[in-house]
Amino acid sequence: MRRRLDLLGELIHLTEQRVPPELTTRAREIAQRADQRLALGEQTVVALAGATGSGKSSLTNALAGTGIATTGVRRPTTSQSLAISFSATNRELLDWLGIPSRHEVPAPEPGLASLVLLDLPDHDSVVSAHREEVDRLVELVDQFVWVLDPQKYADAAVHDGYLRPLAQHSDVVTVVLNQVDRLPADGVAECLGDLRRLLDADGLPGVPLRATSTRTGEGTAELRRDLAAIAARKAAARARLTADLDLLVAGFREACHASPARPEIPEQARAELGTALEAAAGVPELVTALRLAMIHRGALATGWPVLSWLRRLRPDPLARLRPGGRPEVGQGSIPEHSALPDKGPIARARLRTGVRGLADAVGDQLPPDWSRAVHRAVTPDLDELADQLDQAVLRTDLGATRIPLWWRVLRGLQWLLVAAVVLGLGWLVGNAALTQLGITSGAAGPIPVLLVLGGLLSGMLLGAGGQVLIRLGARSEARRARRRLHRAVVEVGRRHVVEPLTEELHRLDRARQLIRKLGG
Amino acid sequence: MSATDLAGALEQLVTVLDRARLPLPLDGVTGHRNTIAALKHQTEDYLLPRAQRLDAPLLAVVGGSTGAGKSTLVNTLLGAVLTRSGVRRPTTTAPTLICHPLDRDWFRSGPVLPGLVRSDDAPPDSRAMQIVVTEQLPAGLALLDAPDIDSVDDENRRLSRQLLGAADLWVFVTTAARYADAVAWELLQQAAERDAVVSVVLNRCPAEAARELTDHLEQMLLARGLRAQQVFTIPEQPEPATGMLSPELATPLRRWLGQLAADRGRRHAVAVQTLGGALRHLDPQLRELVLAATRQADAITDLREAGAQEFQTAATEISRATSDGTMLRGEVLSRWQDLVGTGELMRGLEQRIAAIRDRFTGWFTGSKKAEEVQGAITDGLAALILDHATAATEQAAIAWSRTPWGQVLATRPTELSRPEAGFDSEVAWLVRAWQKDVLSLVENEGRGKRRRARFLALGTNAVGAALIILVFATTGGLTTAEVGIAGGTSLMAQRILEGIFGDDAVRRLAARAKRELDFRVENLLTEQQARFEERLTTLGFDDALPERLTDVADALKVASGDAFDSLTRPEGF
Repeated sequence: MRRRLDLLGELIHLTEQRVPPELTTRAREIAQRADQRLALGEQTVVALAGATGSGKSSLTNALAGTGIATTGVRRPTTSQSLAISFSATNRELLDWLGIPSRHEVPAPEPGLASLVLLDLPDHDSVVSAHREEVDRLVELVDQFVWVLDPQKYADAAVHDGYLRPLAQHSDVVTVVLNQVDRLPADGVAECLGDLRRLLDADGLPGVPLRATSTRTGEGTAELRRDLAAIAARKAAARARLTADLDLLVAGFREACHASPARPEIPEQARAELGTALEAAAGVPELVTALRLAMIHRGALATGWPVLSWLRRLRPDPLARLRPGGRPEVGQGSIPEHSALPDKGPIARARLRTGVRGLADAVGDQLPPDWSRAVHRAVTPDLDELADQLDQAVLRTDLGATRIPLWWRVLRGLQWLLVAAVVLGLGWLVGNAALTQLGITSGAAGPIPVLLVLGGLLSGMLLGAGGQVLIRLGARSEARRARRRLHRAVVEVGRRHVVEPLTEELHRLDRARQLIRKLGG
Repeated sequence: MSATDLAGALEQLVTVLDRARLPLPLDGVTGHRNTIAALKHQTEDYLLPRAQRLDAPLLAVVGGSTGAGKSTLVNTLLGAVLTRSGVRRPTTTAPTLICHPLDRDWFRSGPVLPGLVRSDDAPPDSRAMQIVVTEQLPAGLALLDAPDIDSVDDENRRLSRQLLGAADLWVFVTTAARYADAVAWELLQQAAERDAVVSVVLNRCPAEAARELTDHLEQMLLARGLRAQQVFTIPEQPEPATGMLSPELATPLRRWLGQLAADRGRRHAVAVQTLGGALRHLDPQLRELVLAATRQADAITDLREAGAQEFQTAATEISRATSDGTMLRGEVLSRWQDLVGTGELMRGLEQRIAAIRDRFTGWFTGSKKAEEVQGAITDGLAALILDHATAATEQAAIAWSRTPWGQVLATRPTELSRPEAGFDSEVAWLVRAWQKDVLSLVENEGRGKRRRARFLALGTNAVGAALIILVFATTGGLTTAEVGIAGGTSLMAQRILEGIFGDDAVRRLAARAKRELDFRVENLLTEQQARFEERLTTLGFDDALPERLTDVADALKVASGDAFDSLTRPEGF
């Protein structure tokens, strides 16, 4: 029992705000009550409960062999609970039960020594304070003896109000049909049979049922022996608490019911979250921009120098997306923090939709309260998540700052070709000038013309060929960057969305383990 | 004639009560629902017939707890075993009505208790009311042996209350063990409230305590303001095998009933007292029902407004986001810049150079890039609307879940917290439809001859995109933070559009396009909200119920006042 209570404590803590609050409250009450009751010794508290006029007090007197309990014809008679101990009074126990009216009586038979007999007020009279007292004690006592009588045995007040709610506690319930002397001799069996049928309908099949009469003494000795046997076993308190716990655990089981038993994060939902986070972080456009920037820069670097300066008039596609980090070709890296502006309502909407989709996919497998907890867990501060995504993207090395060696080689070649053209032109011009001045005569020969024409043609060809290679390079560079960005974004998603969610699932799993242990 | 007014008002009451539904499980609603059912029964079973014929035979209902010996008492009064008695509880499950042959027709086919099936014998397992005719009973008074008020048999408890509600006279049977039962006093309290004529039989009374118990019972009756006509005490007997007590034990009760039946004046007085009391008691009950109905109406309004508020918020937020320039970021912005070729460079250059460049790049790539801008707008706007609409649905369901009844409504029969499947494509369709609106808007405007050439040079897609950019940027007025990015972006769009359409037309077009968008978004959200509305409609609550109840209560008050003036008027006036 101790171990079960420890498990219960952990379960309450684990499932708080994930099961209906009434269940948590009730569980706390029961845990506390069980703790207290276990500390109060092994005596068995038996309560005689029943309607007004069913003869509870007379039966109490008959069982105790005394006349302590007031009996009378006026209804209702008993207005205060009364405790009879058959050994030294356990004051703490009776304080805990809240019963000031206490009596000690020598045990009429030895088995009764560890018994405390309570005579409760009625539960059905006009005096509503009586009902409240009964309701209070019903939660506390170890063993019930419900006293019914031929007039009242089928009253809705007792069946609907008390016996049916005690269906889980059938181990600690005894039912007595008192005042059978009022029935015609052949009516007793019929009456008992009918009462048994009603008890079955209440969910209490097989509870001990006795016919008694305090007037003729029928059945009272047997009832006393029953109670003595129960008291001697010293198990009633535990049995009652066990029933309380079982009922509670059933409530938890229902509140933590999941299908399938171990809910998982569907791969598809995980992938969709990744896509949504990428979209929110602007990864696709960044990758496109990177590809275009590589082409742009490559063209600048390797194009035919005569015309490629024109390209400088065009903006660098990447620089536009990373203001503040406008990497010139071949210099510096992108700063870690930049004034990257808020990506706006669209990015925010994508972020929320993505996170919600994941929570929905998991929440569908869970009971409503847990599903709400999952939603709470994965919907953190959206600004924080957006910020983390930005940081992750910014920190990712896009590889755009490196200048490939072959760009330099091509660039060198281009300048060589330019030099060749200049040389050829110079040659031609020089030759022409010298001819003009009469210093030399005749043609310069084919070499300068070849230099100029060849230089121009090769420069253009080289530029065009370089362009093709640059495009191919840019594409693979973009793919690499995309993979790196994807990893970075997914990592943020893992840390800020998937991990809290997994934690909830672990919590549920642990709760279900506890419930299994408690239920066994 | 005021009696017909009264009957008319009572008929109206039945109609109103018939349609009165209190669907939400608010505090005390079970009680109020029971009141509605009880009032309807009482009106049909008793008030209407009695208001129409004050001189009809009296109905004395023998009611009380299970095991109190009602059937045995009835048998004893009549000197014949007419109804079953026994040790099984509950013994009686079907009511038995005993009357003089002269009164048979009134009870067999008259307007009293119209909802009960009649029968001349006692078929087993039936709840039909058996009608037994006997000369033992004087004409003008019928006895009804009712089922118990407190056994586990739910139908018995309901039926007995219905029958007691239809009684001109209660013969309330209790016992020495029962007379302090809460259930019994709850009913006696009702009898006191409606001033019914009651006599109490204290049965199974231990002979030696008869005096004490009778005194105690009378004290209790007095303390609760109940004017019991008579308290009869019957001493405890061993359970009689014959189903009857010895006849002399019931003599006082028999004599009392006999005198009552014999005297026309006293019968009239009993009928008037109980009818008057019942009518007087109707009013406070109806007023309480008005309160209950008002609370239901309020609770439903609360739910409706909680839902509506979330969708209203979503509409406002979407409207703001699409007009304050914040949409001009990310992909929409970069696609637009691709199209118009602004970007870094444009910020510093003269517009003329841009115009030259536009011609260069625009000729070859303009149409494809315009499509890309439109595509980016479709995706972004759809994502925005989808998120806000979904969030609104989710939040509305959460708002409903704050009350237990709201939670039931939000989860059954299906979860309301998410839009239906296919909602995302509905949203995408909406955005594309709006873009088509915008395109046809600029196309119509571009038909003017003078501007046609410039319009054609740019293409409908590009001009439409420019208009959308302008809508996003300016219709809501720019916040300072956005002026930097969006201002520059939208300026370009504005120049392009003004070049084609002129200043006034641009303003008009932008406002028109924004209205169209807001209208479509509101329609979409209204559709989602309708799913919540539908749940409220299925509750079947009549919003006018508080009013109807008030009206009928007022009418009844006037009519019963008039009727009683004439009923209690001394003869000869």
